[in-house]
Amino acid sequence: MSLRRSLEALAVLIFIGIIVGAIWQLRTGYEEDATSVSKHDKIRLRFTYWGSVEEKKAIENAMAKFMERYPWIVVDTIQLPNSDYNTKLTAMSASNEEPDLGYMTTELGEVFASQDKFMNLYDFLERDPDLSKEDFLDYLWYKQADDYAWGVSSAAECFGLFYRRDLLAAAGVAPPSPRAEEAWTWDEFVKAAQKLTLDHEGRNALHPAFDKNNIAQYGVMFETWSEPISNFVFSNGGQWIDPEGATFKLNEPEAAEAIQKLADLVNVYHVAPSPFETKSMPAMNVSLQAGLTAMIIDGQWINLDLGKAEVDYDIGVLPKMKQSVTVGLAGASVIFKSTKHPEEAWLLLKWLADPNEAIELYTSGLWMPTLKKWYTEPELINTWVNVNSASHPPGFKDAMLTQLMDNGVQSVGYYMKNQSVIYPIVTSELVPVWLGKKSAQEALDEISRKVEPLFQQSK
Amino acid sequence: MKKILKSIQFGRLHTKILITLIILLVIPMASLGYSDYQLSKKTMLEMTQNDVQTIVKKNNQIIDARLSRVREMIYGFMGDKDAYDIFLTMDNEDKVSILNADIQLKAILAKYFAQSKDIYSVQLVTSFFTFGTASSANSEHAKNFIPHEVFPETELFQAAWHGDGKTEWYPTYHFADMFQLEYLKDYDYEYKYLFSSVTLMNGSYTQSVDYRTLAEKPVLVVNFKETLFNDVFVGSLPVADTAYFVIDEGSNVVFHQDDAKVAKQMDTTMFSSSFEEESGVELMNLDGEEHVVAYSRSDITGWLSVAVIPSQKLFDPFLKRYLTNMFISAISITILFISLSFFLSRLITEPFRTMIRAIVSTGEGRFTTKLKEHGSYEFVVVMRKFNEMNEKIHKLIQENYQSEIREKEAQIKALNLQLDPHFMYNTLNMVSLMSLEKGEYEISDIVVSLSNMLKYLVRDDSALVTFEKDMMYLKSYIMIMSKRFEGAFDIEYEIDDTLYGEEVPKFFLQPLVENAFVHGFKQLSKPGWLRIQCKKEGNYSVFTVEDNGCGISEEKLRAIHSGECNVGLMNVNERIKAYYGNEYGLSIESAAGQGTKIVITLPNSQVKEAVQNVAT
Repeated sequence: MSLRRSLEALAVLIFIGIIVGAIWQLRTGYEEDATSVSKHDKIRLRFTYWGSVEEKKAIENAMAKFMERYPWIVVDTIQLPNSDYNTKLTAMSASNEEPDLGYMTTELGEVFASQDKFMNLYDFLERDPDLSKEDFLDYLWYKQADDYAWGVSSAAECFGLFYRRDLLAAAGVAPPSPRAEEAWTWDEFVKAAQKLTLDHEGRNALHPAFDKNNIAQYGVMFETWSEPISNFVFSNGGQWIDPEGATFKLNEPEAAEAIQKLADLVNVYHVAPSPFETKSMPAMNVSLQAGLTAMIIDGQWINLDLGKAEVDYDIGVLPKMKQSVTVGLAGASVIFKSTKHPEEAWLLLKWLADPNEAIELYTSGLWMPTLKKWYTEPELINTWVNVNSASHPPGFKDAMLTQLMDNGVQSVGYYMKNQSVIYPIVTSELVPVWLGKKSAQEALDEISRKVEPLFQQSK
Repeated sequence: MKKILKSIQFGRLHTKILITLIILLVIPMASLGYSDYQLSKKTMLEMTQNDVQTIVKKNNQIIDARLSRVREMIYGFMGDKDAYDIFLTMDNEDKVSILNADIQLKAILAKYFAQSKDIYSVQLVTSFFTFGTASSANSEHAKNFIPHEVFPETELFQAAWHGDGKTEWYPTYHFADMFQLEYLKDYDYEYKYLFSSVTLMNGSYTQSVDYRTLAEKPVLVVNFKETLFNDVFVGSLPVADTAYFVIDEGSNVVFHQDDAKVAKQMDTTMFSSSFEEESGVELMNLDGEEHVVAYSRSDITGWLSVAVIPSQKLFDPFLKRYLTNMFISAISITILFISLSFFLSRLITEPFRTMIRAIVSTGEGRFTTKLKEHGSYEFVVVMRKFNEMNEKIHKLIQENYQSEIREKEAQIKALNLQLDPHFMYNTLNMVSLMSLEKGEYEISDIVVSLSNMLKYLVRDDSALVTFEKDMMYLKSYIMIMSKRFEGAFDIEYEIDDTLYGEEVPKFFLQPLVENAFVHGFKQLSKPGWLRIQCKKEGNYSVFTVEDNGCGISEEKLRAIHSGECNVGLMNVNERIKAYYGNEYGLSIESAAGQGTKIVITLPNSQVKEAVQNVAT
């Protein structure tokens, strides 16, 4: 009797339980939805950047972590091809569709800054509890006035001499040192390049029967845009402009000599491909990987691709002409004045600058940190340099870190005005120099004549 | 089966109700569920087929829209006067002129193509130089290159030449294979797989008043990564094991979710019959499993986008949800029904149980039991009738019993009044004294014995007495009888003293002795004897009365046993059996002229205690 009664009660209880449970579940599901609407309103940030497939992955990872940390902020990332970045950003700006923040090329940044399109990052730093201006490497600021920074370098970047260990060993060439005091002199460098340049018969460039028209492996490859050239102009004591920005000085003998020496690698020693020939070749990282060249003069960003491809390479400091230098450069990160959410944009900019939050951008070899302490504190250096030996070969620390800290020279992009006019003139006028049709001095004098009006204006 | 039916027939009401409810529930639910499932499945299949087709078609349209934009860009570029001017004024032999032309052409190409996110790179290829997006402007952002020396031998060039100004689409190819670059074959690089549109720069330009075409017509190569399809296709069909691919007319794979299949030829014989329409969806049996195959042909490239989905996978989520739903509703309905059947059966059986309890109570003699009337009308009526019946029975019993008892009481009273024992004793005592005065000792003895017997008869009205008392009475009786027969026989007593304390039925030996006197010694010529033997035999007390009288004939013995004559003996037997059980009683051994031996067995006190213990 009592058993039956309790059974009955149990059945009723279960039944009620099921119904209540179902209702409760519905309710809690509803409530969960409700709680995610926090005290913050949802905010959308648009972030434009350029970069390779790998860089895209790293950036998107960092963004995902950012959105996890600040759930009320949604970041729309817009990746644009580097070659079209200026075109696209100009169009976006013209149609009043500027992003909230993003990368900025130096030449377009300079134009936009003159139109006062960027917020002053120093203002943010003054208010920021965690960071101050002094925490950053000194040279990284893009300024339109002494107290107005329109941009900060997205990363610290500099140049080095990347070489295939196996190819140097095969040619019996001692690898270039990663330390400035042991840098190759220009002659040593040329000699090494000659030994490393092989024609289709395997004869090197020093061989009397060397066939310069059928080269299978170049000694070195370099690019001819402003910054790679600057390394050697500065190394030889040359300058683009005087410190006041009043005079164009690239046609002075030190600069001309440096550029001539670079051109001679192509036309006199036949150890490097000309810009004409490189059009039929893969980019430098793939050329190095495929053994089309034994050495390349390139920036630290190439560590990413070389590391991914597991190339057997290492890094030395650039050969010196008068002194060993490396150009410190970088694209800028900027916050547009048109943004409705400057504080959130600053949070994101800070996030990307902090290796703790986007460590793979640094460990992968793409970037070097912009904050000083990551260069000086050994345990911090450990966390980004030593964790990935594929992208940070043994020479990396000396040839890149130490070289940038000790012998880094600020890129001309940080301070020269009218870059968007000057660079195309320089590029175009130097073409005959690279092809050996004109001396560097002649070409530079011509450039100087063409850019002269710009400097007269600024006087 | 019969057994089951029988057990149901005689089963509890509750079970019957439950079974009925379940049958009522299960049959319609199962049939409804089944037809609903079949219908839903069919509808689902049709709907998903349409959905899949729509998705594939839409995806194709998205891709087409993007490629169509690129085609517009190509049209735009093909009519660009500046581009023609550059080629006209360029000195093919002068590298400086070529590189400067390259800078200008890059700017023009950027003007048309920079806005497309879908394009990987754009190049203008001639026999002497490749213009456009450079691989070496900045290694960080390097794209593919095109070695101009081998370009005229490639199928890309053939396609462009064949198009003669029309844009031709060339399916995904392996970069190193296409341009015969041995040194790249083993490496991974960003542009390992590309597909391209190629257009011969066949437009005309004006020179003075004449329209002319270029002497050497450059080929515009617009390159795409096959991942262009990835963004659109992947995730658009959220079904596991979906194969999504794009093939050209020659079954070359432009895109496949499985990267390993890209840029190879695919075996499409199993589909081929069905790709004749512009778009469609079909059910096909591939590898022994039914698949939904949806396809759509691109207006721009003529390539087929195909999605192949195992039908079963389409149903999986539906089936899962359906079964979960069924399961949950079945469980809740079952629980509901079980509780309902409990409730219903209790509604019916509870009054029955009450009545059963009442009947049992009545059966035990409590006729005052009264049912509380409750339940349905029928039950209330039955209960009321039961109560009425009980009341009547109770009344009848009271009437009958009590009148009878009263009658008996009256009789006894009358008897008591008639035979006042004190009067009798006194009288008998007086006779005894008078006899003694006159020296008649025998008479006195007889009168005293009679007095004793009377006292015993009247005073002790309990059914069981001590053997001692009964023996005293018996001796008085024998004394009187022996006086009557004037010592014509001997009396022998053989009595175990321990027996005196035992309880025995009152008068249990007297009828035996009486029998011997009345029947046994009648007409006896020889000297008679009567032996009374009382002893314990194990658990029995055995009483034997034996005489050497005329005995009992067989015939008579039978009559005695059947109770026709000598009722006294059988009365004793019955009384013993009533008191102690069938195990005990009286037995007679006798034959005519042989004397009579009557034995009575009773339990002795030990046994009785034991029995009592067991009983309690």
